[in-house]
Amino acid sequence: MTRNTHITIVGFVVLVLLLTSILWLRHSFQVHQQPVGTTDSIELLSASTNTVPEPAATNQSVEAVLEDKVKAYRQGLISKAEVMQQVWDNENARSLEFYGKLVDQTGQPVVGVKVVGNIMFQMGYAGTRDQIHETTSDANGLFEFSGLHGAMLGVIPSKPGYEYSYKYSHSNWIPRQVTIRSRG
Amino acid sequence: MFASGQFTMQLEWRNPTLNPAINLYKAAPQSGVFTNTGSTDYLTDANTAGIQSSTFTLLGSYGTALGIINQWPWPLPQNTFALPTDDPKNMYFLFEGAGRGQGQLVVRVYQNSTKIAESDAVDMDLRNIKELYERWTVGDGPPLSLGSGGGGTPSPVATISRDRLPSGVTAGWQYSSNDPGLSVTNDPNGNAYILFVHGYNMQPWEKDAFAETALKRLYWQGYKGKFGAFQWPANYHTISANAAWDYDWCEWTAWQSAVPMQQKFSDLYNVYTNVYVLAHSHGNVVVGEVLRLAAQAGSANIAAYVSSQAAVPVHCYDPSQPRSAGFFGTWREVGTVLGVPIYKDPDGPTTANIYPNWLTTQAVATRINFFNVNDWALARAVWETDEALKPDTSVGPHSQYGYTGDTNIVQDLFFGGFHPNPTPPPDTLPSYLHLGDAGNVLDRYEIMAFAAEPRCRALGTTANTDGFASSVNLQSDCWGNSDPFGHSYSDHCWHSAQFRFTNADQQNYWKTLLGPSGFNLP
Repeated sequence: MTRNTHITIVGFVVLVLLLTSILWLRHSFQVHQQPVGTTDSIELLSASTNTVPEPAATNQSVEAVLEDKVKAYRQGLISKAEVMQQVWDNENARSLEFYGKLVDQTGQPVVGVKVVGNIMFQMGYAGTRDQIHETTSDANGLFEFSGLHGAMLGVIPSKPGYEYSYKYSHSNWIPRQVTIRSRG
Repeated sequence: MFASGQFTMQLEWRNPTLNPAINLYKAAPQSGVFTNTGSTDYLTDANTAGIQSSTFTLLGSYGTALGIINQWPWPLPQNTFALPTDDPKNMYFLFEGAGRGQGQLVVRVYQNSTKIAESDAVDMDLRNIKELYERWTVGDGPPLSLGSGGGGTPSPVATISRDRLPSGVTAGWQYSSNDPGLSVTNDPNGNAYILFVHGYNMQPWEKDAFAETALKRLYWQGYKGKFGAFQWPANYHTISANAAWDYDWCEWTAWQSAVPMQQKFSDLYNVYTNVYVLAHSHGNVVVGEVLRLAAQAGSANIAAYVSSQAAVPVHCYDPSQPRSAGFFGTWREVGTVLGVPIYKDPDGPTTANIYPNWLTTQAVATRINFFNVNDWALARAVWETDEALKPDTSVGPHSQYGYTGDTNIVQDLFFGGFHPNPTPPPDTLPSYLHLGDAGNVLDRYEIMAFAAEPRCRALGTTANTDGFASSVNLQSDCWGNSDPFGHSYSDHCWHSAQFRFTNADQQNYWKTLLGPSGFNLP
C-alpha cells in the first residue's frame, strides 16, 4: 500500500475473481489447436477421410414420419411439441460413420494418435449433450468410428508434438477433412 | 520473521461506516510459471483462471478464500509468507467485496499482542454491483409456477427496478446527471451509455446475472462509461418441455415490450451523448421494434446497435437473403396483395410473408450483427422449426391460428380461434386479426408471434446482412475457429457463451464489442 494512495473501489466489479464463472469447459479447452505460426516451414499436410452416406431407406422413413406429423399438427391433431420432438429424433437418428487416415505434413501416416469422436445429441429444448468415443490410429494411420448414431460427429485427433485442424460439411454434420501436422 | 510466527500481520479497517468487508484469496501465479508476479493473467489466460478458481493445487487452494476482513481483525496465515514471489517484499492477493461500506484498510504488525507498526491506509468504498448500474424494468411477469414463469403484458412504463436489491439498499440505482460512470472522474468513453437487453428463458435473477457479467467484462476491456439493463417479462421455465408453448408467447411479449422501452430510449438519448445497445437473442425482437418505433416517432438516432445471436427473421432487415431450405414443403409465390407476397405450400396452410423490411428503418446510426451460422437455438433445432410451424395450432391467445389465403382480401387475412382451414367467405369467420401497418400495428405483434411464417433464417445465423455496417462472425472473429467439441459451434452452450464461459475464454467477444467492428468506443 503506497503512501497517500486513495482508491475508490467500484464495489464488487473490480473485485471480480471470476471464481464463480463456469469453468466446466476447461478440460476441453486443453486440446485447443495450437498456433499455426510455429510451423511456418511446413506445408499443410494432406489428409484423407471418407464418409458413408446414410442408408436412403432409413433417411426417407424418418422424414416421412416427420411430414406426417407436420400435417397432423397443421390439422390441429397433435401439439407443436410432438413435431419438435420428431425433428430432434430424426437428427439423433443420423448414421455417423467416419473412416480416416492421419498423415503428417510429409504424407507419412501418424501412428498412435488418440482420436476422440464427439457425438452431439439433440436433447430437445434442454439443449445438446455430447458423448465421447475414443480410438487410436493404427500402424497405417487409419482409424474409424462406425455403427454410431447422433446429430453430429466431431473428430478431434491429438498427439504430443502435433497440432490439428478440421473442416466440416454443414450439410451432413460430419467432418470432411481432418488435418494433423507436426509442430516441428 | 512472519513465517516463524514471531510477528503477526493483520488486515484491519479503520474508520468504517456500514459494514465493509472483503474476502482475501491467494493470487495464482501465471500458468506454467512458479514465481508469482501479481499479474492479472487470471482474467485473460484460461489456464491461469483455472488455477485461480481451483480448490486443490500443489501450492494449495487458490479458489477458497483465506479469510474475510470485516469488523474483526484478520491475521495473515503464516504459510502465506512462504509463497513463491518475485520479490521477498511482495505478496500477492486478490480480494472481492463481501460487505457494503466504506473504510480505510490498513496493515498492522504485532509482536505478541502489541502493535508495533501500521501501514498507510487505502480508502475503499465498497458497493454492491446493483449500485453501479441501472436496471430499467417493465416487469418480470408471473412468478415461477409448475415449471414456468414470466410472460404476459409488460408494464406500460419502464421504471428503475427495486427487485433483488442487496440488504440495506432501499432504492434501485440510477445515475445522477453528474455521475462520471464507473469509478473514474474522467470518463474516457465520452458520456457513453451502454444498454443491455436480455433474451428468452431468463429467470429474473438471470437477467441480473447476464447484465452484471456484461458490465464486469466490459469494465475489464476498458469501458468506464455508464451501463444499464432493460429487463422485460420474458417467459422462462425450469421444465424444458414447457418451451414448446412458451417460446412464441415470449416472442409476443418481446414485441409488446418495445412500446414502453421506446419511451425509455427517448429518455436516455436525451441525457447521454451516445447510447449503445447490445441485445441478445429474443432481446433483438424488443430492440429491433424499439428502434423502428423510434424512427416512426422521429427520434434521434442512437449511436450503435449490436444484435448478438438475434432471434429475428433476417428478412425483417434484408429480404434478399435466401429463403430457408424449406421445412415441411416448398413455398411458392402465387401473387401479392398490396405488395405483400402471398405464398402457397401444398403441404399445409400458408401465410403472407409480412416480414420483409419490417425493421429496415430504425433510429440508429450503425448496426452490427454478431452471428453464428450454426447457433443451436437459432438453427433448425429450435428457432427455424418453430417458425416453420406457424400458424400455431396449439399456442397463443387465439389459437388455433390460420390464414385465409384469399388474395382478394386486402386485410384481415389472419385469424384465430378457428380450424381447420376456413372456406371463404371470410366474413363468417371468428376472431379476425388485423395486420395494421407501420404506423399502427393493431394485431401485428400477435400475428408475428403466433401466425405468420417467416421464409428465412434468423438474423443471428446470417452473414453479410444488408443494412448492417458490419457482420462479426463469432466463430472466426471471437472464438478462434476451433470449437473444442468439434461441432463447429453448434452445441447449445455457444448461444450464450459470452455470458456463461469464463472471461478468459470469451474476452475476444467483449473486446470486439467495444472495438472498431462493434461500438467503436475508445
